[in-house]
Amino acid sequence: MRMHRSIVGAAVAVLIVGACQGASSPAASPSSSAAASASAGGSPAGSAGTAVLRVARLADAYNFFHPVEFQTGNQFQWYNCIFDTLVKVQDDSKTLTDDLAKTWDVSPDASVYTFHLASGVKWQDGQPFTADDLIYTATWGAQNYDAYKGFLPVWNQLKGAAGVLHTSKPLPGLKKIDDSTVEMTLEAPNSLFLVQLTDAANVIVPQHLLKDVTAANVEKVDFTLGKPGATIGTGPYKLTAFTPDQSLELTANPDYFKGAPKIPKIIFKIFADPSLAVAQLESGDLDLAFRVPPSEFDRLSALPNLNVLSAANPGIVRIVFRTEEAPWSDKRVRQAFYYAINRQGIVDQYYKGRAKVLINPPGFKEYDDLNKYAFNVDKAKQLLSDAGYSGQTFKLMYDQTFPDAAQVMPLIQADLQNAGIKVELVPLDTATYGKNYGSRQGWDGFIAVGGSEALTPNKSEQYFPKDGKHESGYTNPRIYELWAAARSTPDAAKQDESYHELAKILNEDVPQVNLYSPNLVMVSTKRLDGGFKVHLNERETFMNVETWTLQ
Amino acid sequence: MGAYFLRRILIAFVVLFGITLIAYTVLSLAPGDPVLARLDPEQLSRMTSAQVDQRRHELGLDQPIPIRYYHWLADVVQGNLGFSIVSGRPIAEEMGPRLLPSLSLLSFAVIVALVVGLPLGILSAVHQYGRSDYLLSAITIFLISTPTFVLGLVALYVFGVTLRVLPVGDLYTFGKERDILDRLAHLAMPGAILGLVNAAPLMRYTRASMVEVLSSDYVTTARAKGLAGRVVLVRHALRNALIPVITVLGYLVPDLVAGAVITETVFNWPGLGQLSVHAANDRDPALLMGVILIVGAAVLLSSIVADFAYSVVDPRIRYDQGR
Repeated sequence: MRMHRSIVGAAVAVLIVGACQGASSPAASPSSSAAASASAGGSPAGSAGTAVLRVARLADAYNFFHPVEFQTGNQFQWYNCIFDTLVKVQDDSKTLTDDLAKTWDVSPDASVYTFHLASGVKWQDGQPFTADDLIYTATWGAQNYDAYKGFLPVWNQLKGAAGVLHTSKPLPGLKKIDDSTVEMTLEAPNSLFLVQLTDAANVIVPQHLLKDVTAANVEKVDFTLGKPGATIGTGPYKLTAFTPDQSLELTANPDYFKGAPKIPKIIFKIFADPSLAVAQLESGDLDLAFRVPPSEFDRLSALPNLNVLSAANPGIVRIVFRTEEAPWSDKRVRQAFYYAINRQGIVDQYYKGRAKVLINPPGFKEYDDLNKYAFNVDKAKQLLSDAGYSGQTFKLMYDQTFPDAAQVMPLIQADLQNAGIKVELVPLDTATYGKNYGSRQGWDGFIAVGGSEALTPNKSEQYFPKDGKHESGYTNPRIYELWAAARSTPDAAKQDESYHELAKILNEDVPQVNLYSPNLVMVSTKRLDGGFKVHLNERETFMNVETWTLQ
Repeated sequence: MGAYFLRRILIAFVVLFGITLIAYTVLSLAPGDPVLARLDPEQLSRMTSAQVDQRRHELGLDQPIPIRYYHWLADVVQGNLGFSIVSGRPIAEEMGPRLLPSLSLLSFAVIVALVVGLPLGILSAVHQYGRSDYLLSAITIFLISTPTFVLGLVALYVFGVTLRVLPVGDLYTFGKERDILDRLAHLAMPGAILGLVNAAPLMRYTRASMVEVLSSDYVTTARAKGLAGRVVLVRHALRNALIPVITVLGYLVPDLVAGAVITETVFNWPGLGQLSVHAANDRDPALLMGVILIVGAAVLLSSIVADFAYSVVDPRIRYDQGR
């Protein structure tokens, strides 16, 4: 019965390819660059005259359009095309610009925000946008706050939000002054509220289409599933076609209140494998790509029709310790890790300068009075012997799909062993990594990557949960006081004071060793112009898409 | 004969049951967790383990494997393939739009495999141990031993990026959804690669079968009668030599399907193969089970059809004779 074997063979092939795919970028890049060098000298020429911008962001995409299902950076970009938020930021990811709110007033203590809404705004189905839509969005969000599966909106910060959860009561912190003015009162002062509002989790959704939607059925309604004509926003582009896991077609909204977009059509392509996207960039079948594998940088840079940008990453690669367990509970041991790892060496050797050594997570300033822990093996050895370290093995867990893991992890291991720390590398698949992360089993430290904390040091707080059962388990009460103090004042100098002290504490106690921040590679056709600029936080790049032009 | 095929079909159902049982068990025991696979660590850091358990319970993943399998089977028998854990969509809705792209890719590949594999196999056999036989053998060994994704990527760069004669991946050019020529152009490269890779074994089978027939007594007799070489070849040898090839063609289907998984991934071809890769990546067992069920059924069906065709073409084979 050979057919049995054949069928099992087919099934096994599926599983194997699936497994390889899990490690997609590291596994795929070498082969694709090998294939590419075999045909080096390709003659690229953009297919001129097309009025369609073809875009890909080579990262996870999740096929939903209601903010409760907002989980990926790709959705961030789609949402910015279809919907609007109250305020947006410029390419520095900091300077605020108007959106649905034309202007706003902030009370001196940063706890009351008054928004004056833009006039003449229409939903893409022709209905007028009013303050009621904003009231609806914020109220529904607070009432159903636990329905949000991914990134969270700010509506829970409004006064009385906890009291309206799972009810249909109005939100006390929300007041409609008139048809174009809304006042929001926060539970606690937050000077960063406006910047937080720019996140795509806070897009304003239409009351007239969603008023009957509940937490129970929100996943299944046409609006959420991305059916053209049902997924309606106020944004510059209308969703005109959507095939899950394949592509989105967006068509310019001629009635957009900030002026009709200049590029008639945008296609977002979703790729299963980054090598094909790279080939399409070369052949001119793709105009803009985010998060291209860094190994393709040199080759793509040589092509005359493309702009290749190696941009700073809002995240950082770091070693997070399980600080509750000896000997890693001794901060001298943790400091020794800093001295032992030649961070600059890894950046120079492996990343060829396309990464940056940082002593703080991005967003923090690199204060002069911080210990930079310059590479010093003797000092590391001294600290270890002071702490009485007696050769315990350090199990370093990491997700093997982390780009460059295969190359960089042995370098880190070698440096640590050189200083006398025994290191066992524990590469895992994403799911097991997540499981061990949660159970705090099978590791003494893990490699964490990514994060979008670049916006403000405030965002880093999420990496120090108060329960002491996540991340490093480090719960110095002072750090929470400092974060709260920074939030409570709009005064930048005072915020900086708090952040400075915070940076000093983390720098001294080392709950995590900050290694480096690898650059991200973004590629765009030279025909793309106008207001196009990759934002510091690349997922926000489409915030001014209506100003872009394509020659 | 009818009884024979009835029995074959009943056995096929039992086999299909076995396949799903094994696949379900393996998938359930595989490392990885569909709940955790979906969450990125940043998000995970905000969830308590109670919340994670709650998600697992909602998805029915906290029950023992036999019970989960029983529920799955009961649903399938009623025509309900269930829902994808990841997207929340019905499995049938996930697979439906991908059937046609997969079928077109597979049919194109079968045609290429036949058009290339059969004539070259015959040529090889006729000139056994001749120069063309050695050359063709070398080519087939190359095709059999080179991984499909390498062939795919090389072809992409040669024909797509450098020579610009064929489109680089995708199902169609955006804006030309209804242009049949555009679709064929997109089909050409993945279809040809999948076809060529499968033409190689087909050619080996044809050659072997033809060599055997050419050395049989009746061919010698036909030659001795003074029949022209061409007549002997086409009328006497080829007809008989092709009979086993029909069966081989039926058994090529699983290889084709396995190859399509890779080809579809390389060329961003939105078929069932790509879907199964998505499903495996996301640890979406329900979706993967749907694909395995459909593919398993198709393979079993193709082998029954091959046996049936065999009995029709070759009068010596009548399955129920003598009973």
